[in-house]
Amino acid sequence: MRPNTGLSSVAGAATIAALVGFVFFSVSPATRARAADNTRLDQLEKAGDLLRAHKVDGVLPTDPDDAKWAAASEHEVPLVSQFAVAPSAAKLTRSQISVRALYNDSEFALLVVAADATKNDDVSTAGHFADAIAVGFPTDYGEGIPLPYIGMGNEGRPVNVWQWKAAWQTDIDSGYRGVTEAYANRIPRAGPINYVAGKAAGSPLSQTSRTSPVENLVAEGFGTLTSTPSAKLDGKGIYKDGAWRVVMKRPLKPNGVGARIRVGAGLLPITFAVWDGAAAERNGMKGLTRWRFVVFSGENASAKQATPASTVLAGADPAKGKSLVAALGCTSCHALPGVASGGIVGPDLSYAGAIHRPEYLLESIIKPNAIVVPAPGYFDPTSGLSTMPSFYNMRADEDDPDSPLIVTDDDFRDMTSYLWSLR
Amino acid sequence: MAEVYNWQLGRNMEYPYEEHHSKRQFAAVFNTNRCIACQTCSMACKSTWTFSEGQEYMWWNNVESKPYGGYPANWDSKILSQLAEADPDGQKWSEDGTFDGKTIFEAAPKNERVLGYLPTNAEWRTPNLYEDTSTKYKSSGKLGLADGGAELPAHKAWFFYLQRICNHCSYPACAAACPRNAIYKRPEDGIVLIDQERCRGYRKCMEACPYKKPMYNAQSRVSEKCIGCYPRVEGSDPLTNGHPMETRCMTACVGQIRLQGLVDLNEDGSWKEDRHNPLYHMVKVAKVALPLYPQFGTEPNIYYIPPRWVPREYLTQMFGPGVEEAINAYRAPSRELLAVMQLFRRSQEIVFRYEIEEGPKAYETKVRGEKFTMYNDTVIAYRENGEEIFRTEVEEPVIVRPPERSNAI
Ligand code: SF4
Ligand code: SF4
Repeated sequence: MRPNTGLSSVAGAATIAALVGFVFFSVSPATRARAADNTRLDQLEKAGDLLRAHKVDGVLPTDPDDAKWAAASEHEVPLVSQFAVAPSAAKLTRSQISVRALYNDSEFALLVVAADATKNDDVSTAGHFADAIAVGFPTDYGEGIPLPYIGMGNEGRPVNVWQWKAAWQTDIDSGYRGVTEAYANRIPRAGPINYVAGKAAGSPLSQTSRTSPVENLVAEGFGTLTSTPSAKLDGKGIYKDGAWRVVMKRPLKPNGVGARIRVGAGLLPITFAVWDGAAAERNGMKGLTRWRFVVFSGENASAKQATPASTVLAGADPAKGKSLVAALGCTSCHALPGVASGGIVGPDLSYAGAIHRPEYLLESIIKPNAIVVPAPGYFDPTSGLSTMPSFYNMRADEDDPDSPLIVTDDDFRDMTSYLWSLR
Repeated sequence: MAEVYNWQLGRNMEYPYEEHHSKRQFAAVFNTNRCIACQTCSMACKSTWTFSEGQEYMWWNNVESKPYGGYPANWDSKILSQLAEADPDGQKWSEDGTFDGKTIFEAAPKNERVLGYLPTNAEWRTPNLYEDTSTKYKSSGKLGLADGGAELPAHKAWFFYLQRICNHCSYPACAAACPRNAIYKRPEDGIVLIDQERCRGYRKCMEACPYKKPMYNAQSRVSEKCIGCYPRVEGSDPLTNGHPMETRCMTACVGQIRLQGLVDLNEDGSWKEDRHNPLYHMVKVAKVALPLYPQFGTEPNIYYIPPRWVPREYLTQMFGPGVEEAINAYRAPSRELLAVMQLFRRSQEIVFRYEIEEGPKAYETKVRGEKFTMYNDTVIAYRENGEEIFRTEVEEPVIVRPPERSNAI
C-alpha cells in the first residue's frame, strides 16, 4: 500500500478511473472546513499555482506605472513555447513573466511584465510582426467543471482571451499606422478610390480607430479563436528598460461575451501567453503558461475547485515514473529531457509540467481520447481517435482477467509525477 | 496527416486535411510560347482588384522572365532548395511518372504544417528583378547558357516568360497552413479564398504557398490573394447576361495565350471525362499542357504549354515529366488540337464545350522531318446551356486592304 493519498474515502476500491473522474471535480465532501481550504491553498501556492489578487479602494489603475500596483504581490510565472500543435516555435524555450492582480467590487486588473529585447509594434510591412501578451480564462468554471484544454480550450469548454497588442497600443498612442504613415515619402494617392477589403468585411484588425489596445476573443478549440467586442475591456502597455509592462482590466461582469469573474465564488483559473514580434511569433508560435488560479485576498471563498498536484500525485515517485516512461516506450513518440533520440510523433514533453496541470497529464495518459489535440499525426482523421495507445486495463495475459495489469494505477501516477516535474 | 491522392504525382501524399473535392475546378491553360510579356494581364488584374492602399506591391497576376526573374525574387529557386535540403538527392520522378521525392507537406518540419519561407520585404519590391542578368550566370554550359552570358549573334542564352496567378490548387498549401481555417476552397468551382473577416494577418499562407500568391495587406493588416475573379466566373458580371465569364487576366491577354474554364470533377477529384471541354482535351487527351512545379504537391490548376526552345532539364524541373511529349504535341498539333487552340481569346465567356466541323485541307508541310497536314476546320464554342458563343476557323482569314485605303493607317 502507498501512503494515504488523501483520498481515503475511495482509496480502498479506487480504480484509476474513479480517481480521474472523481479527483478532478469533487474530491471533497460537500462541507469542508475553512482549514481544509487553507491547506489546499498552501499546497497550490507551493507548486506555484496561485496568484493573489489584492483588493484596493477606488478605481483600478490602467497605467502600468500607477502606485497602486505596489499593493499587489508579484508572482513569477514560467513561460514555455507552445509545442503541442504546429505551427509552433522551432525550438523549445523557457522564460519567465511576472504578474500582479488587483480587484475591487466591480473590476479586475492584471499587470504583466515580460522581458523583451526589442520593441516590435510595427505591422506595416509583410515582414514585420508585433509583440503581444494575452491572458485566458475559462468562460465557465467552478467546482465540478473541468478546465478547458490549455490555450485555445476545447469543444464544450470555451475560453475567453484578452489579447493586448503592441501594434494596437501604438495605434492608440500615435494614430493608426497604415501605408500612408509607414511610407512617408510615397506619392500621394490621386483619387478617392480606396477599397480596403479587410475593413469592409469588418475585420477587427483593419479598423483604423480604436479605443482599447486589448482585443476580446473566445475560442473553443484550435482554429476557432473569434474576436468579439467587449466595450469595457481596456489596458495599456509601456515598453521600458527591455520589458513590456502591460495592464489589462475589465469589469467583473463581461460586457458582451466573456468569462464572468466571480470574486466571491472561489478560484479563478488563469493562463498567459506572450508573443515576441522580433522572432516572427504569431498564432500558436508563442510562450504559454499552464492553468493557475487567482485567489481573491479579501474573500472567504472556497478553494475546492482546484486540486493541488500534491493531492493528485500523493505518494507518487517521479524517479520510478521516469524509468516507466522509458520502459513503456513513451520516448519513441515523445521527446523528453535526457533522451538522445526522442520521438517526434507526439508532442515534445520536455516542459510538460510548465504547460499542463497534473490532472490533465494523468487523464491524457490513461484516456488519450478524453481530449484529442487535432494536430497532424496525433490522431486518425477518420475515427478522430488519438494515435496514442492506452495501457489502461491492459493485462499481461489478455485472456485472463486475473493476470496482473501491465500498468497499475500507481504506475500511472508515478509517470505523471515525472512529467509534472518537468517544469 | 491524412492521405490524399494527387494525380499529378501519381501517388498518395500527406496532407493536413482529409481528401475532399469541389464539384468543379477552376483551371486554365497558358501557352508560354506565345506570351509577349506586355503585362496587360498584370495591369488588368491590378486595375480591377489591387488598386487600393496596402496593395501597392501586390501583383496577383505577374509575368516573369525565366530563368532569372521572379516575383517575389527567387521564389522558385528558394523553395526548390529548401526541398532539396529536406530530401537530398531524393527529389526525382520515376520512369512511370510517379514522383518519388517529398512534397512541401511531407518535407514540413515538425513545428510547421508546410515547408516554406516568408519572403523578405525586399524580395517583394521588384516584380521581375534579374530578368536580364544572364551574364551573371556562371554555367557549365549544361543548360545551354554561354559562360560569358548572352552574346549576339551566336548566343546560346535562352529565356521565356512565365505567367503566374494563384493556381487555385486542389490541395492548397495556403489553406493547409492557416491555423485559423480562414482559407477555404469553394465547392462550386474550387476557387480558393481568404475570409477577410477571419484572417488575423498571421501570414502563414504567405509562408506556405510555394507559388507565393497570398499577400499581406499592410493597410488592412490581413492577407489577400487572387480571387479567381469569382464574380465573373459565377456569371454575375452584367456584361455576359449571367453566363460564366473568364477572369480579367485571361480576357485581357494580348498574346491570346490564355484559356480558362471550369472542369467537372469526379468525387475522387479526378477530371470527369469531358471529351469536348477544351481544357480536358488539352490537359488529358493531347497532354500538351502541364502543371507548374507539380512536385510541390498542391495539385495546381494552371497548365502550361512549355516553351519549345528551353533546355529540357530545366523544363522537367519546372513542369515535371511529360515535357517532351507536350512540346511534340504542340509542335505538330493533331488536327483536333489545332482546332481547339483557335478557341483562345475569341470571347470573354467560358467555353464549356466545342464541336469541330471538318474543313478542306489547307496545306502540307514537314515538321522536324515528319509530314504535317493542316486542315481549315471550323471550331464552334458553346456556353454552359448549350448555346453557341462563336465559331472560328483554323486559317485566319486574309483580308486585303482595298487599293483606295492602301496607305491608310
Ligand atoms: S497557389 Fe498558393 S495561394 Fe493559390 S491555392 Fe495554391 S497554395 Fe493557395
Ligand atoms: S497579357 Fe498575355 S501576352 Fe501579355 S504578358 Fe500577359 S500573358 Fe503574356
